[in-house]
Amino acid sequence: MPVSAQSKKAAAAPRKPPPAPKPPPAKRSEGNPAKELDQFSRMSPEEREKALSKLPPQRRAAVEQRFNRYQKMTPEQQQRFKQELEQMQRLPKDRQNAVRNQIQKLRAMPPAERRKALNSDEIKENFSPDEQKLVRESVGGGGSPDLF
Amino acid sequence: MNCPTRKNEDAEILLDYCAQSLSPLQTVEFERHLNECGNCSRLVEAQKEVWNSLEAWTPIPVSSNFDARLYARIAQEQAAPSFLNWLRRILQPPVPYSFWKSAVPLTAACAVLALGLYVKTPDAPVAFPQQAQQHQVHATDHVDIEQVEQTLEDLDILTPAAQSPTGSM
Amino acid sequence: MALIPAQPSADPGVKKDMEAVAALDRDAELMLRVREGDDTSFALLLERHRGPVVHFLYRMVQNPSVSEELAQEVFLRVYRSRATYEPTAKFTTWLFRIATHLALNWVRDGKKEKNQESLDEQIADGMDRQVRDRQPTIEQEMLYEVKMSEVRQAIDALPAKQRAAVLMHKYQDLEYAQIARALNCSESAVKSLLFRAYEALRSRLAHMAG
Repeated sequence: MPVSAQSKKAAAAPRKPPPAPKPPPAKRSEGNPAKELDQFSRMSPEEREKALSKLPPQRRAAVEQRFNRYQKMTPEQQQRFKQELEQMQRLPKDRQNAVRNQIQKLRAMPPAERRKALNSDEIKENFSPDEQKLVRESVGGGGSPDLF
Repeated sequence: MNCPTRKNEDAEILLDYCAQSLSPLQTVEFERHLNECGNCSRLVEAQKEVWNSLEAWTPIPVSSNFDARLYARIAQEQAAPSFLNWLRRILQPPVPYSFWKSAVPLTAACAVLALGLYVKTPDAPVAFPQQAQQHQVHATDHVDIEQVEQTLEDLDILTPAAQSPTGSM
Repeated sequence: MALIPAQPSADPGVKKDMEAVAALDRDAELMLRVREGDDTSFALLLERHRGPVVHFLYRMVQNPSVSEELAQEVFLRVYRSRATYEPTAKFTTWLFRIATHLALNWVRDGKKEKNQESLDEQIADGMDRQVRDRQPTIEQEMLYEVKMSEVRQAIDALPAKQRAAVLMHKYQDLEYAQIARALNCSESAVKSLLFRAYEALRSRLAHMAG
């Protein structure tokens, strides 16, 4: 009776490693983010490269990708982004995170569900009017709940 | 076929059979042999047990901060003076010296030459012109790159890709 | 003004290199992109090979923290040498060559006396983990740990080169030619190493059958 052999490939396939850990998020700094971004934009490529060299490769690659996207925006779009940034900066740190999380949660929803969520009591109870406005503007829901 | 247990040079067929890396034709032929050869049959059984035991040995998971630590080391190296990095590349090649035997004397000669050139040219501008250097130092010193990073993360959150001209993330 | 491009270079010489190896080795293609300054490709290579390299080193040195330190050194060396990388062999061959070199150095430098403590710690950790993960009986736990302890000791008892050969053959699925390059020896020497190693393992672990 032939000896049944094991599958080396099946047996030897190493257990899938845990998902790639994200690089540790940088501690949120104080300061004027729009001003820093403007300054970064005004730098020469060599200066930007030198500044970016302080970051580990993966984070650096993410910054480069996002900055490229920023550079391709129209001046009006860049201005609007900076205004939203300033609105965000006026909030306390913990509220900033709550707003960010809510925006990402809403973006993940289908449009109909998102509209419903934007007008829900949950949003009204958990977020101040300024925060609600920021959330709505970011997910494309307009400034006023009455539109829906 | 020749019995693998009698000729060491054929012994790999035993390992390959247990690892299931023989061709179908070779597998059939070897299994025919196993039916007739007690030695090989016992050896294959024993090898199977070893294989099972090794298979059961699962290592502990990689630390969740492995990548972060690696990137920190890379960043630290990149921040080091360039001559240190050069020295490190010479003293710690990725592949051992045995494969770079012929390159070592040449590398040493190049190193001496480079050092000689560096020493020989004290008048050569080793730094940027004063004005450009000031501008460079000024600009990079005043930019908080981590702040820029966070700001651009907010770009993704506050301004979805559809709102930008490229429409891509 | 453009930043360092995340896309591969359009240089014809590089493109030819990349096309030639792409069919052979996706990892080599990624490494060529790293050579061109694409750090995202390095992150991808790390994602693909972090686990196998750490696990290989862990089984070689049998110390979790040392294995990760050595693995970090492997990837550091890969990153350092990105500018001069040439795809003369499969990427994994090169990677495990570096890993084997570091592991053999570590073993040679006589750190083995520290291993016993870490082996005992692993036994305790392993038992805790098994209880959390699988809820087996205490008896099953004990039997499992005894078996694993014997496997670890059997591997640890092998001469370093035999150990490395077995680990690359069994767990990393490397071909004889790749193992030969990693160990800087001939293919027939690798086969001989493997034959002797497995013979020793069969002898030590035979009583565990059944």
